[in-house]
Amino acid sequence: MKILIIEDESALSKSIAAYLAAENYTCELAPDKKTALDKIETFDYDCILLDISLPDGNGLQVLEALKANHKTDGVIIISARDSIDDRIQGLQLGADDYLTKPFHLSELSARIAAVIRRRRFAGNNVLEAEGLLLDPQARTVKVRQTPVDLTKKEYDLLLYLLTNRNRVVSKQAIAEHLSGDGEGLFDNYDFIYAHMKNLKKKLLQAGWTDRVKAIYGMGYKMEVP
Amino acid sequence: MKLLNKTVQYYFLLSVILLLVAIPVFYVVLKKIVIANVDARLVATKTQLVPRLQVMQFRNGEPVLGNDITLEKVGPNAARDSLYTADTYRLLTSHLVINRETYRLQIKSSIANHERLITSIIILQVLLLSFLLTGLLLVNRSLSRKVWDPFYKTLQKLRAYKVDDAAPLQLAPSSVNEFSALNTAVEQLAERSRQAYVAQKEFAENASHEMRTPLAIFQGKLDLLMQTDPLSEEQASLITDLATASQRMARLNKGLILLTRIQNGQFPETGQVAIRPTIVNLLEQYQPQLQLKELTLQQDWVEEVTVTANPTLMEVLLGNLLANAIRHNVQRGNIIIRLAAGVLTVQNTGRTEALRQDRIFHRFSKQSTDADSMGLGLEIVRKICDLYGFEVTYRFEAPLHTFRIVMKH
Repeated sequence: MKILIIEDESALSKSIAAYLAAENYTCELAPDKKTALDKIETFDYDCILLDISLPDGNGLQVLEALKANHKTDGVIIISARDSIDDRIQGLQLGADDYLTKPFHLSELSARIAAVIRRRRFAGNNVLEAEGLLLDPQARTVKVRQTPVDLTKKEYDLLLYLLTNRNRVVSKQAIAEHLSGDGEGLFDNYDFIYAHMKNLKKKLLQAGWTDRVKAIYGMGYKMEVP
Repeated sequence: MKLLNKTVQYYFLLSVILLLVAIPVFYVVLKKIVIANVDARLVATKTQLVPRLQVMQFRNGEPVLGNDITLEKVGPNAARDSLYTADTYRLLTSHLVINRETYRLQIKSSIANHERLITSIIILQVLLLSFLLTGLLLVNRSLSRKVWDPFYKTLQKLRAYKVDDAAPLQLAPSSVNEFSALNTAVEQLAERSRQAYVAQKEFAENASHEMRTPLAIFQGKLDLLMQTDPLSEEQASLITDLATASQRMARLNKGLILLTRIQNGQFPETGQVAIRPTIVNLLEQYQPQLQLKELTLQQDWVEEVTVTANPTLMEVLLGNLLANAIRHNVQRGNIIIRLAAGVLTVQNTGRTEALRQDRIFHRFSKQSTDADSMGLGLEIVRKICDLYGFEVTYRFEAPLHTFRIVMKH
């Protein structure tokens, strides 16, 4: 999978590239609009991460160029601005998602995975981990042949861990992912433990070997080869 | 006291004193004049009478000369003429020698009529002066009011002026130099504060936005740091603390930007928002937190309230209120939500003393040791209430902290 990161802050783009490398994504960096336009003209990407404020222009012009060339690359805008107008403008120009800085790399990774699923596999690729099968389109989970009945939060948690497999996902990132807009009002992460406990119990009952490890109260990691 | 009344008060005082002094003086002077007049007439009568009496022959006793004149024989007496007031008369007594005999001549003139006249004149005078005084007062008042009109207009505009108004302060021009100078000075002052406010607002906005990129870098590096292997427990604990701090910074930033955006009026789109379903929905979201603290929730939906507002902002407003009630609650505490007659009341158990009324709705005036409270929540609540003309109040009646929002009167 090829990803283009259009972002002028090299410290940020390098972090993103380093995190995504663990998922077998190949990342290319474009620090300004000119390089970005050159690259999208020559290559096709599975997903483009686009910062709107670039040193030599507005990132939205890159979106317009993509549209003009009938490219089907998935685009996620990563921006410091998060007003509704900015969002609407970006999404109207054909961006798939809009992520406001600061964000957790695990969240970005989950969003990229979702965009690629939609764009490249029309939504039907089943995520697999040691006999655990998660179908994102049908929103069903099975352990081999046994269906597992999960609540919405448990399902979201599982999908999040699966897309960030083999990496530590912090409890802050999980809390933010699970509670959406309500996040920010509470600093209590205890509710994650409850969800995690229930999820693990259900998966174990269905016959899955537990692969989710708690890392010193810092976060969780799903270890699957 | 109004400046107008103050000046009028002095005029009035002066006029009353003048009136009180003038009336007795006037009375005394008038009486003197009348008496002098009467005396002159008495003397004239005597002068006219004496030559006639000198040639008169008295046959039997004293002659009758008229009602007001008496002539009687007295012993030899060289007393001089005298004039005095007796009863309501003015009396002229004079001694004459007729045919070697001394007579006392008395001429009197009634002054009762003159007294009445004086009284009438005084009454008239008092009435006239009073009318004049009242008239003057009224004229002065209306004139002052007209003269001060531009001042009151300026004052009214200043009262209504808010520094975050988009338009600069415009005052009505005045032909009076003092007022036009005042207006110019006030306009300049208002413009300067407005510009300072705008600059400060832009600074807050820019600073908040500029902070986001370094925050993103920080958070990204932390996420990468978590992936390093091997990782000791000590390192993990340090990273967790950093992650929590980073999360707080991110939230603070989000809160500040939200505040700036509310102040900038960047939530123009409004819709009909029903309070009850919004709250029920939020409570659903906060279920995990409610369960963790084992809170008892009492909901009292007497009457649904629907307001015209921005749905996002309403959700933020109600969310902050409910989150506060949960966050500052005690284990196994209570939350009572009541919606009736356009008023939403959220009550919760918590600390056993009241929060400081004067600071509660202000930025960063957090009054709890709870680290995740960032001190912006209630200011956001107040700003949103201000925006839609809601009235938010806080009250503490042990053991309940009560927040009350009047949404409709």
